Amino acid sequence: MKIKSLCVQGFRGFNEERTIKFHDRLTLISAPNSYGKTSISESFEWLLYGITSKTETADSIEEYKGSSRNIHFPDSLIPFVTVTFFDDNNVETKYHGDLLEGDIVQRSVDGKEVTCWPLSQDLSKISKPFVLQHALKYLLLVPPKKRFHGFARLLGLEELEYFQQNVVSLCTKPPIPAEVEKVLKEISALEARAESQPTLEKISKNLKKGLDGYIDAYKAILSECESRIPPDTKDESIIPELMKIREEAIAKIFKGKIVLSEYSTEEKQANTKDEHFFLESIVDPFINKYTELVALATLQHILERSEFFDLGIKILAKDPQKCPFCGQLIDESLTEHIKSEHAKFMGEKTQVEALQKQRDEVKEFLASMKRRLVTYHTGHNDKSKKLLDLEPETDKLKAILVPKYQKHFDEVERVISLISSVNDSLETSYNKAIEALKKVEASIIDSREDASLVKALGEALAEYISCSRSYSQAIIENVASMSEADKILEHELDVLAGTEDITILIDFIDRSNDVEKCFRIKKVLESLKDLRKMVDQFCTNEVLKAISGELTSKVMEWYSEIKTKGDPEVHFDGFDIERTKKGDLKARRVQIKAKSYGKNLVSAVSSLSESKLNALGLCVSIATNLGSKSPFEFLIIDDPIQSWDEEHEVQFIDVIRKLVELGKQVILLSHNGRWIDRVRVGCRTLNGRYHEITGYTKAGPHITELPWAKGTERLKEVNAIFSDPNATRVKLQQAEEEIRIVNAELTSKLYFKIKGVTKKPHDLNQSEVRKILIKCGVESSLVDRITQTFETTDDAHHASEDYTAHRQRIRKYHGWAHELAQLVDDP
Amino acid sequence: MPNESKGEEKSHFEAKSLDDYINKLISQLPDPVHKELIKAYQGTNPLQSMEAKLGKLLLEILHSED
Repeated sequence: MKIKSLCVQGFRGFNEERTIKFHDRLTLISAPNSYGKTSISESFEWLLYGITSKTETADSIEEYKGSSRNIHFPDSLIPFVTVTFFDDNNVETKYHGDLLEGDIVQRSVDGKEVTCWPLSQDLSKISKPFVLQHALKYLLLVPPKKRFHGFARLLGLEELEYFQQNVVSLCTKPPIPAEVEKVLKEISALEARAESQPTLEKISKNLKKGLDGYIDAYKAILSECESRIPPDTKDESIIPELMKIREEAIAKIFKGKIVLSEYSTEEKQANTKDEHFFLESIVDPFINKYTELVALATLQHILERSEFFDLGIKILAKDPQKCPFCGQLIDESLTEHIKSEHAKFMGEKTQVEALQKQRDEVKEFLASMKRRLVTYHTGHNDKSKKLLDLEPETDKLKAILVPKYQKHFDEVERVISLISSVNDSLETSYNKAIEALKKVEASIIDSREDASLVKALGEALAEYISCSRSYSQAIIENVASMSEADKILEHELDVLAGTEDITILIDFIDRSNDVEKCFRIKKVLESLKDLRKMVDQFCTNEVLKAISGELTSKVMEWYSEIKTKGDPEVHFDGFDIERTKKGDLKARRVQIKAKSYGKNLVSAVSSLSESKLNALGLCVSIATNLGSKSPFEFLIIDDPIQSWDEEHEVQFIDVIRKLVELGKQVILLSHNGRWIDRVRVGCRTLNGRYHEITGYTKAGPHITELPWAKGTERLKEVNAIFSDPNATRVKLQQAEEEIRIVNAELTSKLYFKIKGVTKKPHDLNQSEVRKILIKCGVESSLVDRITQTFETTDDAHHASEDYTAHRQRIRKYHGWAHELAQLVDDP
Repeated sequence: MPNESKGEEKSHFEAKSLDDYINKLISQLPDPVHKELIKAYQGTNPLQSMEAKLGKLLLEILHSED
């Protein structure tokens, strides 16, 4: 893709809309400083990459926010940049970018909105088609690590660099899961304890070897254990035997443990269930069920009478005419009366039996409540029993822990006092609840049910639950501190009893699997150092391959193009990566080598002059640009010659020619008008386009396109060519081309002179020239002759490949052009 | 216009894709754990992926059968 034109409005130095047309080979733009020249290259950069390299490499991006929009551009309008590209088949494509708020680019191609440019490559992977001065300084005159980053970007290796940084970050500070960290700490503490015991020296030595020493360490541990226990002890009895030895030794000094047992999740859930049960049992349905039993007392006689009547009915069934109670004769009506009374009693008996069943249920419920209460209470008691058993032993405990562990002892005393207090409240309220429950049970047995007893039971249970909650809260809050105190006590007792080593041996056997796993984990973590080194070397090596070899040789080639004969032999000598004394690559440290008359200098940066560094930077940009597979066939070079003498300035003109000959469309910007003129002269036969920024106001830069060369200069050159008997076919074609250009320029001038109409010479083809000359009243035979000079080319001024220019024809054309020049009064 | 030769089409230092570099690195790593870690470098937050992989590997060791 090459650039046909650039249209900018409201972006950077451009306020009002401006369009610049470009030659397909060489365009020169000359402007004094601050006339908006850099805004031209920035327009391309911003459109293609969404950001300029100036902003990208700035130390503070904040300072550049909002700077893309021209400050004088009306708020109601949207700034934009449009670049029209064309390909080998001259097919044009318009890339348009609107600058939205937040410096966002809204892209469109030929009027259709797109999210990214439809290019065959990822732009981040290819060299940017810009050679910009501030970018060069960023690449070379920065610390080696930043330089590495600059080269990585230039060579499309940013992703690799980022990968390297990420791996280094992982390996330097690897994140370890909390669960793993906990076990590592515990085993580390165990190892430290072993190290403190002279008798366990062999074990410690082997443990220090990590996984490699694990088996030997455990052999040593086993050996130590065997030396302390009866000789024929079985393997599975080693720990119990050791524990027995330890406990016996410690018991001589102190009996007891500082223990508050934790509530497990299951216990907590069960307690919650029980508490709900106790609190929600003594409610109206139960109270009603209980108080209904009162009726039983009064209904008891009904049962007795119904039994009496049952017997009577049986006797009556055998002899219906005799009274079952007194034996006297009875008539039928009396028999019926007895039977009906019996029936009544049967009904009431059913009621009584139901109440009896209800009573049994209530009794059973109370019994189960009592059992549940006992279990619940016992569960709580167990949590603090061991700690409370210590209460009488606190003086002994003090002797062991104080003064070294005064703080812990004070804490133990405080907690014992607290637990003792809540435990007392718990016991009292428990006994009250049990008493109230017994009273309710007794009232049922005595048939003296009383609702106030059940209510009292409910209140007693509520009070008990409140106390149990306070109790369990006190336990939960102090489990950790008591556990810590117990560990200290265990340790101190070990010291006093001389059983430290036994405890350590027990712990090692108990946690042998954890020890092995910790060693394996540590081995992985240690190995990350090796991974870091390998990745560093790998990535640095890949960059080294990229910067040395092809890049270095290409940069050297271009560098030699800029060198002059008079240059002292102090030059750039290639790229490298710094190495350690061992010869390993130092990660991310690019070196720029230089030599002075064959001898290595410390570095190019410290030894080469600014002009040489400038030249080097240019060569690096050119080499990487030409070397990377890019869809862009253009190269924008902004102010390349800095701190150069005249000789080098001239030398660089050859570089520009060479770039054009290699097929690049070169767009060259410079504040040095004198040098731009030299470029024009030196590249005159390229017949490019030349723009001058002649002024700068609030509206933006004023850009004028000027002729590439004067008509007279061209005609002189034509004369020289057709006068040269050895002029090649290429030269003759060039001569014809010059005549056509002169004719187009003269036609444009005549049009302006006669009709006051401006028409750019580059835009004129054969038919346009004809029309204009006719409009200007040029004599028809001259019109025919002038237009004849365009016959051998197409509208883009290209001749066919097999065309050969004719010397005599050129002579004629030369004469006709002079005739036209006379009409224009063009000197 | 005079005919002029175009520049070389062949690219001199075209960067490979990151995947190519990573695959090349993996083939050079002797330690299988390291291979696993590097393979985990992917997605929108590749560093986080690697860290997660490392954590997973360490936990696997911790929870492995005795």
